[in-house]
Amino acid sequence: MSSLVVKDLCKTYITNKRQNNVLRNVNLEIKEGEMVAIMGPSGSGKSTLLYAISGMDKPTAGSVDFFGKDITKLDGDALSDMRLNEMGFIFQQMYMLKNLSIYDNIILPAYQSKRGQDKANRDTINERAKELMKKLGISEVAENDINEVSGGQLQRACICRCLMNEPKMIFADEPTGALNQQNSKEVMKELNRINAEGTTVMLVTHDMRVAAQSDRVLYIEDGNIKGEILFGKFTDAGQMRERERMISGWLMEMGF
Amino acid sequence: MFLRILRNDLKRKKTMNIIVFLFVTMATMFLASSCSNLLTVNGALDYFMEISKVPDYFFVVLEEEGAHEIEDYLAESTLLSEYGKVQGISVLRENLYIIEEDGTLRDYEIGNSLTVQPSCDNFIKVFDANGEVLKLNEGEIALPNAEVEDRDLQVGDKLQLTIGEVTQELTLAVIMKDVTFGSKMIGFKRAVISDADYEKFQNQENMLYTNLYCVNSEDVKAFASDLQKQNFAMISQVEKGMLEMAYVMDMLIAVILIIVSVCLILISFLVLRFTIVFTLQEDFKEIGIMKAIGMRDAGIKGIYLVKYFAIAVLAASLGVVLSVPFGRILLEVTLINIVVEDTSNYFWLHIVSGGVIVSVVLWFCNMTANQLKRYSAIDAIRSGSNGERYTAKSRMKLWKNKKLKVGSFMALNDVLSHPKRFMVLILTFCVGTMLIQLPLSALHTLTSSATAQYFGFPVVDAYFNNNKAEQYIYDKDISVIEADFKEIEQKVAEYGYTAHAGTTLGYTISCYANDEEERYSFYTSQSMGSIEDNYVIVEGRMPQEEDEVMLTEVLAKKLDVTVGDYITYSMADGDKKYMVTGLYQSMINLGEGAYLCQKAKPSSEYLAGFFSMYMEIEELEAEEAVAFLREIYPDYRFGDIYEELTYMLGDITSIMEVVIHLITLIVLIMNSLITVLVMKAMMIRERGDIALLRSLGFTVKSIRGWLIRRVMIVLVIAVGMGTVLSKLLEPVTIIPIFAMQGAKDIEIVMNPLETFVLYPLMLLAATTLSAVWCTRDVRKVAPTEVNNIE
Repeated sequence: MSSLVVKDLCKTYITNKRQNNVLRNVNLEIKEGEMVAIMGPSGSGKSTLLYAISGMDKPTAGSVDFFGKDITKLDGDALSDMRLNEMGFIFQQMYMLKNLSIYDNIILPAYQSKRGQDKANRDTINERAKELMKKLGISEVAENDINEVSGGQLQRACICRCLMNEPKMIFADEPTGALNQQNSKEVMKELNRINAEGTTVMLVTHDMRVAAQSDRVLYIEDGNIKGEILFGKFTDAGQMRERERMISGWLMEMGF
Repeated sequence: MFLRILRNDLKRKKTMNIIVFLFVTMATMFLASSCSNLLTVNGALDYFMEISKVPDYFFVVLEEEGAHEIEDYLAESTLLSEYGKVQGISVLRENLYIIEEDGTLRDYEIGNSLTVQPSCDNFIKVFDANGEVLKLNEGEIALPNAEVEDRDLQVGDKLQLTIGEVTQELTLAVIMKDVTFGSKMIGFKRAVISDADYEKFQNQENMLYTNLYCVNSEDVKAFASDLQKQNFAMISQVEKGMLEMAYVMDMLIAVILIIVSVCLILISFLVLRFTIVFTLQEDFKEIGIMKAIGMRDAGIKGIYLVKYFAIAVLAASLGVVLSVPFGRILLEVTLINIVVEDTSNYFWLHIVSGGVIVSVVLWFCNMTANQLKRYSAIDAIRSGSNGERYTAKSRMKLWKNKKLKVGSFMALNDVLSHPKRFMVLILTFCVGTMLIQLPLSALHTLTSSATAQYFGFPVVDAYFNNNKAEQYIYDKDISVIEADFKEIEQKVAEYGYTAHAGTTLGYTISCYANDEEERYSFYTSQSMGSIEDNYVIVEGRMPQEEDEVMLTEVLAKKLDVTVGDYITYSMADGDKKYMVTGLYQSMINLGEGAYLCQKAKPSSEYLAGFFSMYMEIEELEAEEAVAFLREIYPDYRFGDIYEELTYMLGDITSIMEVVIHLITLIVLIMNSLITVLVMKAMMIRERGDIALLRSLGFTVKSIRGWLIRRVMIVLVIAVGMGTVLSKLLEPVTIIPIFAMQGAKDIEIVMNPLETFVLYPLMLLAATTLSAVWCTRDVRKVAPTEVNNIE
């Protein structure tokens, strides 16, 4: 089943009376349970595509079917509900609220959700949060402030946060962009595990090592998808080098 | 390039720049008008008395009371340098009516007394609303503001005055300013008519002339003492110094407004500092980049100094221009009974004030911009748009929270985690609350039943005026008064109720304590009827025998006597000693007075006035009693304790109400502006947080709710603090004002509904509306902006 179907998606910005067509008739389909990476040069529209198809930004034209719902027709509040209850986001900058501890930042969207509004569910939410933190190895920093943890721990906390409401799909924009190699490995390990459990993942990346762990890699240039390379599930670390080599060659062919 | 940077900055931060502009304008306006008004107020009364030609001493006598003797005495006295006489005709209740629009006549309801006089040229002049010496045409009448307000009159209304056989219709042409008898604290009142109209009333039988003798003397004390020895039946006598005290409330109100202005100036400075600091911190990254490309600190600082100099100069100029009419309005509202000098003499002060404000703004800016030196280029860039190393510690735990919604939790947590961020709001709201609550408490105290004791009022169901006070004073027959009160009690008894009626008589009798040569004349009260007066006794007891007296603390100090000592009253039938049995506090005559019990029988020829008339009905509550009495005596004025005190204090209370409303309006405006400023600043800083919450799926409504609740929480905290501080400051703010009037032990009264509900709700409404308006921009923060956060 397709979790995401994008048809003729366009996004245009007008700045100082100049029109900039960032996305031009993008068509793509992502199946449930896939992990898809998007690569391309700077300014190609990768992040714009990610935000347009996740409802974070309103496309100028086209349709985006998210698990059977055309999100381009939804209003602001409906999109907010969707982001809260059905989607998860991981950003390059591991942004959290300064006034809350790591733990409180993680449970924040869950408490805000419909389920969390009912105070009787809060114990269940707290248990899920503890379970996720344990899985991601950040239980010991739960009560820390956000400036008292490492980048990797913070990004893993962001992953916990995005998983709290059991999203159908995760959108990640350069999830390892601000991390060192070790932390990047940890984060990708978690994303792979989540994907293995059935959550669809779409991520934007410059890093071939990250892209190599995806089922499929799309190449975008000048606002349109120029090509894709299909790998299938990443099950073995030994596949990494081969995949990286394939991606590298493919990108050179694409002109990147 | 600099101009371009400036222009872009002004465009980008329009709201904040506008608010800085407004605050500089307001600060200038308040400072300039306060300084100018302070000088004006300081000399206002002296100026008014000078132009009015108030004598050093004056006294009032009814014409039958030995007019020739008095004039002979004054002519021969060596203790005075000059004297004059101003004659008037006493107006009784049935003499004066207000002609309504439909031609019917409404009772004027004269208070204690009203005298009609022609305008005076030599002494005790009166002025029109513009401060010009009063000139009336035939057919016109002028009244003081106190009389006009109490009767809902306005210029153009018509009155019918009958004296003897002559009736005239007069038009209220001027609301006059009368330093001598204009204050509500002085019972004697006068109306002024043209010489031609006054002449028409002359030469009739049974005229009730009132002679006012004005005396200038090098040694007023000696003259006053000598005058007391003559035993003239004076109904009023006033030293110039005492007259000044009658205006103490007017002056105080003016000073209160100046103090309010000073508080608002401080708030403006606080806000200015906040804005300048915030703006510079926000631009730290740009400043870092400017440093990195080689711009010098002085050049960078110069950009900001120029910007704030431009805003400050423009705003201060506007503030100077506005301060002139603003200052004038403040003076006119508060010194409504006083002619003030032309304040255009003080315009230089307004300009200097503008200069001071500009200097302060530049000083703040320079001080803050000096921090630039401490940062290297890379420090400034790395500090990013915050310009600070943020280290907030979360005070509350979301996971422990079982009761609050997420938005409410976040709001409360923000305030508790980093209260310093909200300090500008907290201080402003707190000071604003105090500025409203302190005068409000003063007003409630003034009109409360607690204050009634300081006027000797018993706490009864109803207070009334049968409009015969003037007649009683003229007839000087106590038995008539007793008979009238008995009649009222009997009439009420016909309806099946048991009523008690009483009043407080006032005598002006010459007296001495230890030295027969040093004589004084003061108001001696005595209750009459079946209701005793009620005083705040601080020592001893009330007099119980005919030769006992109670004195106010102020008078006892003046006479140098205490409980157990004796004072001597000198009356026409001889001197009589009275033992001082107790000391009490009173606000009548600025705390100077004495009290005799009913057994004492001072000669009625010294009867000078009444305070109030009282009625207690055993079977009815106060409200029911007042309604019932109004029905059976429609021509009398009845009211409860609050209405009676308000009537007595008259324009003081109405001026205070106006002042409170003015202060409230100013505080509401300040609160709103500061809320907008601080919220805008916070939303700029927290743009990333807002974007994050939007990306996580928080609706615009829920984010706005968080931001608005934060301000509301701060307001509740600040109002609470302000209320507590107001209470703590009452002994040093409100009580001294009452102490000046003779009531140093007065209990401050608060109206809980107004203090805890009405005014806080108004503050909450204004602040919330501002917050709601401010948070409209949340919608403009795109969820994708989360990626632009530094």
